Amino acid sequence: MRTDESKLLSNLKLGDHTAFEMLFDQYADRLYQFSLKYLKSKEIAEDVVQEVFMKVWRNREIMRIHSSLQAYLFQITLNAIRKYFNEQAKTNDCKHELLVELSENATTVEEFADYQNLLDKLKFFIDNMPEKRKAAFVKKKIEGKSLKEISEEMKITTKAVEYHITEAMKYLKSQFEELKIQGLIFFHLFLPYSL
Amino acid sequence: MKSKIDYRNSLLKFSEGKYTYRDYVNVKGWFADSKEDQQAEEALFDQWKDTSNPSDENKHKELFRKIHYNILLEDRTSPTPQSWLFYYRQIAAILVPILVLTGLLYFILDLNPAGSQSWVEINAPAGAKTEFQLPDGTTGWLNNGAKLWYPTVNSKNREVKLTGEAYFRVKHLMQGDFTVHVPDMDIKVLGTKFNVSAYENEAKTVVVLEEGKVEVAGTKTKFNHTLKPGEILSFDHGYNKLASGRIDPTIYTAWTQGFLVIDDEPLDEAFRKIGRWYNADIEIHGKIERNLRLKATFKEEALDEVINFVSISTPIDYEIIEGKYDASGHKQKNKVIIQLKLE
Repeated sequence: MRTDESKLLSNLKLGDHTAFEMLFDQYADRLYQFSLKYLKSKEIAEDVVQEVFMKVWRNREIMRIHSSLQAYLFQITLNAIRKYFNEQAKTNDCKHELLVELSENATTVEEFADYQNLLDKLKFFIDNMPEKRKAAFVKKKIEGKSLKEISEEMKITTKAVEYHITEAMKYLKSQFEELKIQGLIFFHLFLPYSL
Repeated sequence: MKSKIDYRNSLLKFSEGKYTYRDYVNVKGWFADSKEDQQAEEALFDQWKDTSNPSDENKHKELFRKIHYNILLEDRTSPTPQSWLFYYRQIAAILVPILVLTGLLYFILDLNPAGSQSWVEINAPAGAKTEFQLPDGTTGWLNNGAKLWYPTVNSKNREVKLTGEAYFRVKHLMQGDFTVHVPDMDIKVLGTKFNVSAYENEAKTVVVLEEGKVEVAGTKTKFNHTLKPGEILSFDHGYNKLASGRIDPTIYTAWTQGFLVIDDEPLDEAFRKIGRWYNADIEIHGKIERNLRLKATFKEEALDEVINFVSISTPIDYEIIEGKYDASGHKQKNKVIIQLKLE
């Protein structure tokens, strides 16, 4: 059964919290699933859901729905995704540089059929590092901070930061080398394209 | 198209999770410039429409509470953060044996002109619960202010009418269904245990199945739904909305053991429940926001103790006015006035 949408909207305009909750129940998961597809992070997808519904509530009195509620929600969701996606772009560039460095070949990375898989592997290995090493490494290689900043934040010497990063890179290189040997990544280069 | 980049294809591949770095670069380019390729946006809208709706409405409830909380903080002109610290606190309860008052039992004649079927009414007085047994062996409880009617003549099809809340343990008979009629729906059962709440002053009619199987059919709005054990079905007549899900049925049947359970319910609903339980008029002055919720279990506490607990855990002030005795010596209802704390 379908909830009467126009009634829901007119009640929402009056500030009815039940109507708001029903709207949420009806669309929250769709919003979440859709955001997850483009942002690849559960936390950020939840942030999108929160941002969109906060906006719906704030604009409840002035919102004009031309085509449909569906289209209205899609528009503000897409705007929110766009914003978060662009925010992520910088760290994604850092991750890409890292992958190129680890594979020692930019073309290999760029033509690999399953780029998400590389990112997932990278994340898995980073998460596997000892806590301090991971923190120093992420700050330097993904957030792009300077050695000095990191040493102040972590209250360790810049030498120690450098040491952690060198060790982390060694570890990642050996892990990626292992995957290549096992044929788990990049293997497609030796096979004809199937896509 | 002037650009040769296939944004649409890259976006869809990216969203499905199997994509190349070049796809990612295209997606990045598309997001960076919103004017780029409107057709891709249409494809995304189609994808959005195809994204399935949730089967479980409770999946994002925590998130909803967070959002609702923020909304309330924003909406308040003079926020008082301290009072919100109590928001999540739960109230413990003291366990004391239950006292049950027996209900009134009397005969009434059904004035339905179509037939001369006479009905027996069982009534749980406001502020009390009544245990009942029907001629067919079905037993159960009526909650505060609920009424149950059953036909005086045993017919093959067992039918009862209900307003308010009741818990049924339906006797299984080889032939003959057992049907509970409430204003919104007909609940057809075989041998089973279940709870129905259909108070006239509540927005929702709620059926919870503990054991067995029931079939629920809408009367005014047409719908059919079969419940399995541990499932809840609620129908909101204001919004004409049907919802179902899985729950712990003991929360909904605990009242038959003398527990007043308020399971994370909006404060206005909680107060209506408390009012029915203690047969008190609870007046809410001013507007109480829906996201003020209460989770508590009480057993055998006096009304003033319960209200006091609520006032500790939520930002409300209250005043209790004891009911006076009228000329014939009957005590009138206690009255409670609730107000949002102003600071």
